[in-house]
Amino acid sequence: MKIVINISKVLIVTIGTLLLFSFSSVSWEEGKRDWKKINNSVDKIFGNADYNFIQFEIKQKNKFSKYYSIQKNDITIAYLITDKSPSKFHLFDYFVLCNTKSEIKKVTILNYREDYGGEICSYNWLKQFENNNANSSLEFKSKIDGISGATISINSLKNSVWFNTKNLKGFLGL
Amino acid sequence: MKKTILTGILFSMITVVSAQNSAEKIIGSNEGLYIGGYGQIDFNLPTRDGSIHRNGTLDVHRFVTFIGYNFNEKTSFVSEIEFEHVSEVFVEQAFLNYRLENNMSLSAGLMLVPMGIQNLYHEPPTFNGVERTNVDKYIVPTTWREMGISLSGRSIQNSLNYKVMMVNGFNGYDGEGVFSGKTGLRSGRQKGAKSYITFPDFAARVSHYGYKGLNLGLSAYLGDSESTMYDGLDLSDDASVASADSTIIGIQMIGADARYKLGSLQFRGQYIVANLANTDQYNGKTNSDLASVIAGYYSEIGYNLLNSCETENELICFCRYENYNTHVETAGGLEINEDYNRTDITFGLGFKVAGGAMFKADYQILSNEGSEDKKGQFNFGTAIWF
Repeated sequence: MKIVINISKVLIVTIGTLLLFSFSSVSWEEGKRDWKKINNSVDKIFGNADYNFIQFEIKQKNKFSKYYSIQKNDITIAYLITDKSPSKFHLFDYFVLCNTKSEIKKVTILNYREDYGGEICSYNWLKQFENNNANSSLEFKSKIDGISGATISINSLKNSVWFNTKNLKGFLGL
Repeated sequence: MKKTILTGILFSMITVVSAQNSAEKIIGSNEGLYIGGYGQIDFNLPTRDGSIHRNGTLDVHRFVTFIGYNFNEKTSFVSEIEFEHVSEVFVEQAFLNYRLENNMSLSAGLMLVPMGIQNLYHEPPTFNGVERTNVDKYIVPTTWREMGISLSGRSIQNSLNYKVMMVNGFNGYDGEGVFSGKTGLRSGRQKGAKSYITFPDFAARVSHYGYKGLNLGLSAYLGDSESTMYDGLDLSDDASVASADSTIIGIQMIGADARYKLGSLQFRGQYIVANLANTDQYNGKTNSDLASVIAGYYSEIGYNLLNSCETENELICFCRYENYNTHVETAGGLEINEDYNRTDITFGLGFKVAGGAMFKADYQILSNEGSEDKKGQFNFGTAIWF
């Protein structure tokens, strides 16, 4: 019966560990971290320079999608789209960076909120979106392989990115 | 640089009425109710056994409704209510989830034990074949869910997901022995229904997805089964303690699995083994025939015949070889029952007509080492997930 006696120790250690994690989460600042990721990607792809994000409206869009032109000296050098898309139970956040021809240069997951399907955060997998400029939804999606265990999230992201980039193309008259 | 961005943000907030140029606004809140579900409806038709006719069965095997609620950005409640064979109702999952960090969360409540593929990913359109694999039924045993707390997270840089969990163990003895040689640990699942605990058990799983199309998993479970004999036990009474000790089973279960998907080709395989301690004393006390080692594996290959066609539908043909043995090794002179060393060969088709909707048909050849006879069974089913 030695294990019975140890159950209290196990619980104390577990609760203590969780409390430590709880305190550490106080410093969590989601907004700054998201913008840092966006800025880092813009720097890498379009050069480290001064630029502004100017939001603009598109008539047909998802509920949470937001479109920005990235401007340097009043000249648009790229476009940023941010959006939410559903995974199994939650919505996840992502952004897309496109050049001025609306060609996809980067897709990154900002916040993924549940245990299942987190594989879509993989940088290697997300690279499949880059320069995928297919003209049909079917062709666009067929160029991106699935991952076992993340089917819902993958289909969700594919649909959402296709919809948003198609809208951007339409807006730009491309 | 940073100043420019901040200036840009301020500028856009002023110049564009609808601009909300901060990430909090971009991301927004994520509150709300979420409803979903999955299910499978089966028609099983055994072939004739010589001149013996066997009826087919038609069954709404399971229908499960998801109900989730996001309290705020970090906190959510997840539940699954399952109707099995129409009339049996279970709560399959019910837990509160709290995000400690962006890539780490804590959960508490009734949760799936992270062992193998199908115990975690059991929505019918996610697997080939009408029925779940028998390795996952008799060795794992799916749907294995217990009460506890878990910590889960991911390392994107290392392409790793992980989960560690502390849960109550199986009910191994509640006045009589619950485990058996034929079904292993399956009957001992407590499922969160007035579960009881003497010994906390531990489970963990790590999966790696760094190579394109490949997902590798390692699972482990360590602990002892529970026994009602410990409730009210006088710890100073050595005879009673010894008697209670003979009603529990030490469990060490390990699993390895792989899933690979590239283009039209898909492959998955899994191996699960459980070493069970104290089975000699347990069998003596309960007159059971529980083995000291149970194990199983399967290997499956599938091919999407419509991959090169102009359609999002999938027509997947597949073949699976599966062996599951609930009497690999026995202790204390218990004779190994070869009937429990079973092999299934399954081949069939799955027609995915939408992302979460599938028609399935397959044929199974069922055999065991204790008999020369082989049984056949046709299975037809519909699988949904939304």
